[in-house]
Amino acid sequence: MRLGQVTRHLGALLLTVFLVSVATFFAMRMVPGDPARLIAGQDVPPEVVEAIRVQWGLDRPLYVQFGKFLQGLPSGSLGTSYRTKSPVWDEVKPRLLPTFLLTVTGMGLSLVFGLGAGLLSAIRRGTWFDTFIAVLSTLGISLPVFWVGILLMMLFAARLRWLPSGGFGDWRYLILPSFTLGLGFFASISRMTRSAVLEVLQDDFIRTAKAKGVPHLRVLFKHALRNALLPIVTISGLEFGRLLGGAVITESVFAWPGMGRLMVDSVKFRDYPTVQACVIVLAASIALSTFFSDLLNLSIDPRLRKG
Amino acid sequence: MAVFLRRFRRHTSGMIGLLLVLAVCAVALAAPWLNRGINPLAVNLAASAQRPSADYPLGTDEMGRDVLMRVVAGAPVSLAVCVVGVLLALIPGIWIGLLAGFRQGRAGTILMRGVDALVAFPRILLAMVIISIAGPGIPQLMLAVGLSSIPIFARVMYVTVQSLRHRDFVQAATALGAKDWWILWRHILPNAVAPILVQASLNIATALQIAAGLSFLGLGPPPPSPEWGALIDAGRTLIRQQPMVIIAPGIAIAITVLGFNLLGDGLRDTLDPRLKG
Repeated sequence: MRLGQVTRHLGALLLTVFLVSVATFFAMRMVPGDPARLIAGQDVPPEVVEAIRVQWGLDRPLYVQFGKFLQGLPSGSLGTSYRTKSPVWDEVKPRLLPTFLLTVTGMGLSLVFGLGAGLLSAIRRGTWFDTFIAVLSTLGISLPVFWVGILLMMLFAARLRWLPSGGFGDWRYLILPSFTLGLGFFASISRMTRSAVLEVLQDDFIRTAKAKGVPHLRVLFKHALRNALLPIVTISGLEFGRLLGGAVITESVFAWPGMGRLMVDSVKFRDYPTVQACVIVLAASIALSTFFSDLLNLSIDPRLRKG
Repeated sequence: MAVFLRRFRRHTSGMIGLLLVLAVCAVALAAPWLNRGINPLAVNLAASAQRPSADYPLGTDEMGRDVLMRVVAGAPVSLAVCVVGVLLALIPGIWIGLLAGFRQGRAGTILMRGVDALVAFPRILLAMVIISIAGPGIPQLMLAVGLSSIPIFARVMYVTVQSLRHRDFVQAATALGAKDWWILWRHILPNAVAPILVQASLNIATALQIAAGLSFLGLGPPPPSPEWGALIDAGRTLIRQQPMVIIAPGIAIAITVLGFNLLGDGLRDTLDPRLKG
């Protein structure tokens, strides 16, 4: 893999994060209403509001505020929360691991099950299994994620009492949220694996491999699946963002203490610095996942390395 | 057109999608007349949290309101939010994609880079940012759903224009001295109708899920609005006594989303068989 390609991807990543930060900064300043009043709360005399305005630097011109914001970015300083009056980063930091854990587990589960189901449906095309997976993936795309979460909770936590209904703890707490989150991704992965494998199976090199007498399973895994993997890796990188979006809702269903719930609470409270920080951190994770899926593609497909 | 209709009629899942969409639209339009004289907002605490019965086919919620009536009354709200939202996104999205794709300058490239970054960003988060600026409510929800889908339409339009601008009929029109706006209007737009239509149908499905998700998170219209996501959120307290409060609006969302997804897939397969997945 060439160093130049990696640097180029890395440059694109940093640029995306920077642009998102700038865009959210200005979007948050477009909000009608007075931030100083929001920080001060209701029924506070105007002098206090004015003092807060000066103290928080909100009386300065926009470009000065923007300069200060940019200065803080490299050191990870994302401003001060309107709600807790403490640095936003202190709010965000403890939320990162839970969200990361949930998203990666959801993604891992759906990749394993989705690849397996897609591969099996392609081999057993037209059988009841194929139909079953097709129905399951259609449902996975159509059912609202929070609804599935509540129903799973109702069944496995409230009725059967096999799993905890919500909160953060050992691995058992992770099962329901990650299955809920992964359902949609499972649907798209299984569909895509199926069609990619079916397409590859018709290629000449598969026929050659079979003609050479390569064992059936080896043809499937070594030849077909590897070639079908390219679009799947690309989509996985892109879908990571959608999973993070889904995590926002899933976290609220299962009282999972992650970024999503922090963002929802901040939106409700109009805590703009925290909303802004959440957006920047989530955008950075999405850009990072695209970066890694690009690198992975480069290592899977030697043809891409020439570009 | 006749060929398209004949092909679409043979597309089973597309037809199922169309029927589901028509059924949901019919319920939404007829909602004011379907209430059997019951006000879906009227509180009746004496009949609170009842299980399904002859009087209340799907039971009642914690305020004693008929769940079936609430779901029916929610149909026009939920449908309007996503349909109006997508319509709001269509024109700006089409224009951005059209201009960026046709005039291949630096500006177009930069514009599309921005669009790409937004497409990669989860729509629900984008919509949440818009709600945090605009505040809660039905028009705001429409705006959030609409603005957050502009990048997708811009992307689809851009790709379509890219694939058309080097085609012979466009080149011929340019050679004949046709003006840019004429080429766009006469040659590019008519050929872009199919992908946009497909995208619109699929997008309504996503928009509905996003709107319901936002309402579920408490960022949608304030109670007692019967928006489906809000109904599910409100029903969480009754999860043990009367699960129908949650199940019914969820099924309504699923049917509508499924309908628009199947319709979109059907349209894609029949309007542009090359894209068949």
